Amino acid sequence: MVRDSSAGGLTDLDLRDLTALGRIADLLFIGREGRTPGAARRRLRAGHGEEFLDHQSYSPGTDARLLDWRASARLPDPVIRRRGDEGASEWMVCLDNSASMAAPGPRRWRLALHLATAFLHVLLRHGHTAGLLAYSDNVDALCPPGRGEPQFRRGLAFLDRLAPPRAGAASTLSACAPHLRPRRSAILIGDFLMDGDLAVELDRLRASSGELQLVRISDAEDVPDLGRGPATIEDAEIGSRLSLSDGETARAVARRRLDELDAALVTACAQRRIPLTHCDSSMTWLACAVSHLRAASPPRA
Amino acid sequence: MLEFAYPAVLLGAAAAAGAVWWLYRRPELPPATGVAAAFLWHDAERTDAEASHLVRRDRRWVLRAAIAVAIGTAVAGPRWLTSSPSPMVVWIDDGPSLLAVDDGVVRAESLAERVAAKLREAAVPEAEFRSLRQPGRHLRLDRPEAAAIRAWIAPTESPPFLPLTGSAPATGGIWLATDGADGRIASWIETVRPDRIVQTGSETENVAVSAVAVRRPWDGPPGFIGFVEIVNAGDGVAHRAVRLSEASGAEILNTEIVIEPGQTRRLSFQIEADATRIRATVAPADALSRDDSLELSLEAARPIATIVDAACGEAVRAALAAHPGLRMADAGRSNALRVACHPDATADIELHRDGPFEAVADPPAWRAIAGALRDVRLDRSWVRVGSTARALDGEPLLMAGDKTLIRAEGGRIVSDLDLDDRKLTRRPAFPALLSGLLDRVAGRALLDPLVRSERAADSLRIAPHTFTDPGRPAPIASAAAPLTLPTLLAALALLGLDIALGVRSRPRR
Repeated sequence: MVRDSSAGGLTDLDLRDLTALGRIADLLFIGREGRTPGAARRRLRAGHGEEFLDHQSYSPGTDARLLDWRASARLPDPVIRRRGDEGASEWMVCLDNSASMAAPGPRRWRLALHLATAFLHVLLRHGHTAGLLAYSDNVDALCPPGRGEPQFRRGLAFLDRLAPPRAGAASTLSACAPHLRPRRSAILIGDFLMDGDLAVELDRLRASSGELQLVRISDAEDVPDLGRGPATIEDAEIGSRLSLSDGETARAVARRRLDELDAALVTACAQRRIPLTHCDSSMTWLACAVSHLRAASPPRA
Repeated sequence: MLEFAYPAVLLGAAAAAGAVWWLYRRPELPPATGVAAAFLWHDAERTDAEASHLVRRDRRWVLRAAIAVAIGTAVAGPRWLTSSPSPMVVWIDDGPSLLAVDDGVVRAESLAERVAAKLREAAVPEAEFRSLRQPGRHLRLDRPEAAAIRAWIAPTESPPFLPLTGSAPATGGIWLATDGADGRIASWIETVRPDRIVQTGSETENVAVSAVAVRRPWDGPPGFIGFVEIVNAGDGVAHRAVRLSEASGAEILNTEIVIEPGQTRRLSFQIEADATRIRATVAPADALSRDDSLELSLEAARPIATIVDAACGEAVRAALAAHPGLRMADAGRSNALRVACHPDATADIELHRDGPFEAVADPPAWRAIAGALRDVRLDRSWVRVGSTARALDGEPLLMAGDKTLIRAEGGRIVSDLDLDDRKLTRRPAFPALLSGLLDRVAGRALLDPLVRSERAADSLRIAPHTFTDPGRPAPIASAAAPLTLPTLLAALALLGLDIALGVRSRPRR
């Protein structure tokens, strides 16, 4: 598989910007995090962990097994015992490594790399366990989840080696599923230019993962101007060539199809409460990352 | 009429046009544009086979074939033959050696014969003969005939002017006709590279009287002393009898000499004061008889008749009487130089004596136009000037501040100096000043005139240098306007049009 090393690279990423993003994330998540013993932070979210989180008034319909009888005896009303969601503190940043990420130019791939780095940094800064995964029609590369500064350095090295092929690799979301777990959340970064049923793919992922977040990176040249007259296009992923009788007419058709695809993605994510952020490849990674953190941050407690 | 220097190249141009047609014979789909997701375009999809019917054959093959043809045509050297033919230009080296006689025939005649014969041989219909020594002199002949050429040739001692014919308008070819006597044209031949060199001349021996000169003896009996100069411009030792005689026939000198090649001999002589003209000859005559004799008029060497006004002061009269170049004449004599010491507009030199005179405040200074008079130094303390002296008509020669001491009025000289003042007349500068004024009025040096008649050394040699005839055939004797540049410009214009069409059809980004 031919790799285009010119498409990626983290050389222009400034660590000071990452730190700034971390501070922004700190502000966004103030009052929404719980602190567990030790240095590690856990998300303030009720779940099925082993550690006690807090008490909550009992309401009809709540599983009676959660009742804290001893505390209820001391209190006027029955209360239930909530446990922290330990599984949700493990994240996998999944990066679309298909050939379309490097088409038509390197901007989309560079933004994707920068976003993956940024999310890894924020997650590790907030005490989460985080890993990296590059997928196309299979899992191309994996950086197992870890914690702390060593994991960030491993992640940087992993991303720095990563480059999408020039051709011949399609993207399949469900390729990430074997590396996700019910207690492992995922952030998917990609162009999501898929001809199949996107809803089915998302459902497969949700079934095998915890929380799911999407960052779609579009490019103004996804539907390039071919000019008037006959034209030929070649798919960056599968290499198929299509001959068009009139480039201008065909572009209008493709533009409409792309809009429909975008609308379907938004609808599917909204129905499944999946945070979705849409970034153009011309945006800065910082703006895109902040936009996504705002969209994905839980409401204040 | 259109013609080509290299017609075979046109076949290549045609082949190139055919190759362009062949390359464009089948329509081709435009180059593929890479897209991130081709499925977006499926609704507008055509298969390659279907699309090939939709894609029209690129009509620009015609344009590109035209570019190939235009370039090929330019390389073929197109030119348009005009109706007015350009004549062959024949430069004639018309030096004095053309008057030499080779085997009883004057070189100018044999050269004319040869040129006419060569032109006939080369089938040159029209020729223009140009003089190499007389700029602008030319002769154009529709049918070059030897007699007409010979009649036009007028040998002269002027040096060749060696024109840069490379910058001249295109002609039907350049020839050079010469006897090769003047080696100075060798470098010109290297520069101009004439197509043909027609050469004549075989005689090499020439002894000439190159100069005759006389002057008055400074301290001797009345008369003249002089010399006659003989040059052997040939290649061998020459024996010659040198004879010098007066116009009356009286013999002054008659001697025989042996002179080496390239050597110059001078023979001295004395003649009486009443001689008017002398003639030097060498005998026997050689190939170039023109330079075997030389005449000299002695008139310019004689003292000039001068009329001195009786009103002039003693000092002036004494100085003029002592001048060896002057001969005092009576007042009624015509053709004499007149010195007046009172206002007289007809005098050649007018010396004012009507004072009062006053000293000058500034040192006298000669103007640049004073010429040799500037060598006469006059001190301020010696000089007094008439109080009425001021800048009048004429050109000041000597000034002291704003006062004009001596001025020139046409050919006359007017002086306001006090020439009776002993402070000046006792100085050596006084006779020198008068002598200078006389020389300026007479237009020549009167004090010690040297009169000579001479010939340029370059005009004496008749021995020919041998030049190699390039023997290039006469070029097409028709005037042709080259069309290479316009054709190339047309090709460039077509190329620009092709590029413009390509830019218009390119997809916008």
